[in-house]
Amino acid sequence: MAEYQSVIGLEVHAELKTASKMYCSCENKFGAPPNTLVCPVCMGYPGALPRLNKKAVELAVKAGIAMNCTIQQNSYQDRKNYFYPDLPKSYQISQSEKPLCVGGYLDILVNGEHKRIRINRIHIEEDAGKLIHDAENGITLADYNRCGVPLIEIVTEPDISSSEEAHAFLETVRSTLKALDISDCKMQEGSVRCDVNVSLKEKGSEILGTRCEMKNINSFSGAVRGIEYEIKRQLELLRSGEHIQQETRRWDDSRGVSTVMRTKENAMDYRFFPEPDLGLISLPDDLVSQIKGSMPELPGEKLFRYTEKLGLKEQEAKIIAFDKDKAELFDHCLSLERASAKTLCSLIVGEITKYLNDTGDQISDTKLTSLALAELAGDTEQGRLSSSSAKKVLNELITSGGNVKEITERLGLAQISDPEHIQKIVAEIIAQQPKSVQEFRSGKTNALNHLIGLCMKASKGRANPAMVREIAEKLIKMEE
Amino acid sequence: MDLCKMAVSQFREMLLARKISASELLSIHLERIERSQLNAYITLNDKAMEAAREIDRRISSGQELPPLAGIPIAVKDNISTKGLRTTCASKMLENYIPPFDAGVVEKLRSAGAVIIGKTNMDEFGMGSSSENSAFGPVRNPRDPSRSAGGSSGGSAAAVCAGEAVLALGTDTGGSVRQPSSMCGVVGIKPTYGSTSRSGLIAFASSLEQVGAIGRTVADAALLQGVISGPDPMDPTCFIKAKPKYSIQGTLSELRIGIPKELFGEGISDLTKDVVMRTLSFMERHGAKLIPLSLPELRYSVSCYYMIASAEAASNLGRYDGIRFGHASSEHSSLAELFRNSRSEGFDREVKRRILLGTYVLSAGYAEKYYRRAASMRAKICSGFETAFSKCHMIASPTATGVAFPLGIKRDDPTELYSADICTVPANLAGLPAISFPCGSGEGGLPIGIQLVGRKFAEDQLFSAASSFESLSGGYEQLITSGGD
Amino acid sequence: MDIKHLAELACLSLDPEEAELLAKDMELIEGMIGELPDIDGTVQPKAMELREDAVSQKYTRDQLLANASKTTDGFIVIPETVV
Repeated sequence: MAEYQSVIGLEVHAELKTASKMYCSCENKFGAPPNTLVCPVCMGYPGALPRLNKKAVELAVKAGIAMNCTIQQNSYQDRKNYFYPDLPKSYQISQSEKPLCVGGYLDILVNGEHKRIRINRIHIEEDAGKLIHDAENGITLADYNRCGVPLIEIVTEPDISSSEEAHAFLETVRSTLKALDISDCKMQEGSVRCDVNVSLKEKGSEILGTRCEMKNINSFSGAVRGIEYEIKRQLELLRSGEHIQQETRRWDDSRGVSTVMRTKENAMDYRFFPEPDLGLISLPDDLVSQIKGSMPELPGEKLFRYTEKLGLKEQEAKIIAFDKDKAELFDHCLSLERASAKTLCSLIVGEITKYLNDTGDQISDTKLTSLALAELAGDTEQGRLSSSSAKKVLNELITSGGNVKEITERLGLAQISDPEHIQKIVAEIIAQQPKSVQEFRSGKTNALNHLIGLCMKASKGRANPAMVREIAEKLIKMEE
Repeated sequence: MDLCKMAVSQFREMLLARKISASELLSIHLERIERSQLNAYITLNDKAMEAAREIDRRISSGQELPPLAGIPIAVKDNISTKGLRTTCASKMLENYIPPFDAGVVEKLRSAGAVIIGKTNMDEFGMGSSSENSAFGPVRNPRDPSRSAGGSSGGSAAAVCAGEAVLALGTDTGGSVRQPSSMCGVVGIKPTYGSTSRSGLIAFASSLEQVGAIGRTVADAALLQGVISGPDPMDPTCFIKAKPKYSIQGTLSELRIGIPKELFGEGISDLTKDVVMRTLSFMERHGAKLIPLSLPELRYSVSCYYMIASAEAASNLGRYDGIRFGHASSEHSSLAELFRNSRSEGFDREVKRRILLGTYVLSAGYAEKYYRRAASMRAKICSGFETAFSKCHMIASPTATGVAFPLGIKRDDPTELYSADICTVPANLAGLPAISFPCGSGEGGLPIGIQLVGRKFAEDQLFSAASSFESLSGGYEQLITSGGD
Repeated sequence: MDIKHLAELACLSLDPEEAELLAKDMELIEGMIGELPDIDGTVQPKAMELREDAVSQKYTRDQLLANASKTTDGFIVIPETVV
């Protein structure tokens, strides 16, 4: 029986973070009352003409540079013609023949494997309106606020081979666009969306199978589920000897199935032609070099540095690298050279992330400074603070600020690492627990843990646990 | 003296001298329109008198008057006027009230013009007879049993008949020039990109411009000077500064190219005769006639119809009855709502253009039709460029004959298309072109001569036309003297 | 020309009589436009000036919804449920 390899391509749409829309000066904002952010241009009124937003072009170029594309000095827009009530002009101004950015790539990390996903193109276009379906009353409500919001469409080559790779790619794109302030990528607000193309090919073959497109994917995990469903669906068809029909399908996440929207026979004929209402998009000579020159280290690059150079675990490294604020905090702390990457990492992905998730705060909302965190990490590493004490100090730093030394002293949390002091505690506990001592001597190692636990309790968690163990073992052996 | 046949400069003098008020001037025009059988207007501006009175207030307080102050002007009904119904002579927009003024209308208002109303036309600009109108055909003032030409028939007829002093038309393939020729008035299509298209309800975006129609060259030049100029609302209006059109100049040393392709068999012998006599007249007064050949012009009608229809099909997609325009009450699905609204709202000519435009852009045909048309367009442009190294401007008849009778049953829609042979090249190449009356043809009906100039060389066209006008004594003189 | 297919693409509904008339029209038109020779060359569009990214909300909702046949609560009503 033939073995199949999945071949996946993605089309990611991201709304650009501009003040105004793509072709008019209406505000680019989510959540306003219906039809309050509109004008004759974005509502497709007769005689209204589009005027292209300069910032939108700059952000698109920035995205292209971040994804290693070739930026076209001169490009133009095309009309994509089709009828749908959320598309007022009955055409979308997009790019077909000469997209702004071509031929790039984005490197991803999946389960320790590096992979390069090639980008076919990135082009600019406008978003459509929103339709609210009221089946009960047999009507649809149209809100054109979103019409004309600037979009970039990122189209990959079919280099993705699994749903995990797709997820990793989406995470990498999202964090990149967010880090560069190109898009706020809020899937729940629809500012990032993706369509998926899936096909299967025989393992070892160069011949691609028939691909199916899937639309209506509303989350990254939805993309994973959709891809897996589609792979399974196609596999079943192939295994039963049937052919895959080229289709556009609609993913229904709540039901976990996809249904046919369009077949190849009634595929859309968009009748692309150059937009006559707009001229040539000619980039200023120094724009590309300017943007390249001020490009910071990107999330994907950070991920590689964290895993390759700093030895962090992939999952944890992703949590930091893909979050602009966490990465900034991490890198800054690292530069202060008070603690190792591993310790800083575990503090950030552990307690700090938990706090941010629980409260919904951003790091900037807290009182935590990078110096304080670096010092805390250093103290923990060098045994001046036990892990439970560190948690308490961290909490203080986050909620009230201050510095580590002051808090540690005030709360009396300094770790006890003085052997004499510990010996005193251990000796007391041993004297109180003859039974456990006896059990340990007769081979029950658990009994030692019990004794250590009691010592820790007696020291209010401040004793250096490793030292307690060492000293307890020594004392017990000595008394044999 | 027939008040309604005077020129702008005369009216201005009278207004300044308080011999007539702007309100009176408007009233005279309104009375004329009331009595008229021409059907040149679709909607009259109920705020016109208010505007006229405002001008009168300014006059009496001695304020400086802008160039068109108090002058009654007609605006073709595909140009948006805020708050005033704009129908494009179509059932589709029968009740459409634009929420904004076209860029050119804003300029008219700033110039103090009094907008009398919106003129009748071929639906959405598609046609050359002004018969394809949901509001009835326009009649030619020279002979009311005949067409006023199209698609700006209403504008040309209004100016000719004294129902407006000046008018705005739009020219996509000859729609200002041909009706001007048919009615015996002056009409100009300016250089593409010199005049704002913001608010011009689009038919073919890369071909059309708003053009001025007047009874004299000076009047047309004045109006065009007012409406042309930069407009940030139109990115294709790339002219850098407001033009100043003068009409000074002579015919002496003017090199006028005569392309044989525009004097061919599709044009009536009498028309060709009259135009050639006009050119000989100009030669006698110093112009040099240069015979030329522009072989690619034989493809220009075909090229034009492919590109214009493609753009039109796309531009007219927005009419689905949802946000504005005719909405069908017969539907049982969304698709039916769209289709029925559109089918009920558009007339047959519009449907033909939409189908043609859809065809030339459709999968499997776009390469053979649209793409080749785009390349041919480039060739036509370079053909003109080469020609302009030999001459200043290119002359031809404007139309293939005089005004034709109304109501001709045409089984072949391409009959009228082919008659656009002389006018479409200027649209394809984005060049300025003027039509002015140069004599009479059959039945004493007017014949227009067309001059096509280099980009942004409207001045030269106005000068040449104006020189001819003064030397020949003007069109009315031409009629009486048999167009010699 | 496949009139039926083109009408569908262009979102027009033609009753059989009209479709027949138009089919005849279109045949003549197709004949007139003929076929252009296959040559090279395009008209390069002019470089355009881009708009600064500034917000300017000049219209009220009422102004822009005034021409719609049916509205409710600020939405434009489409009298069919869209799937």
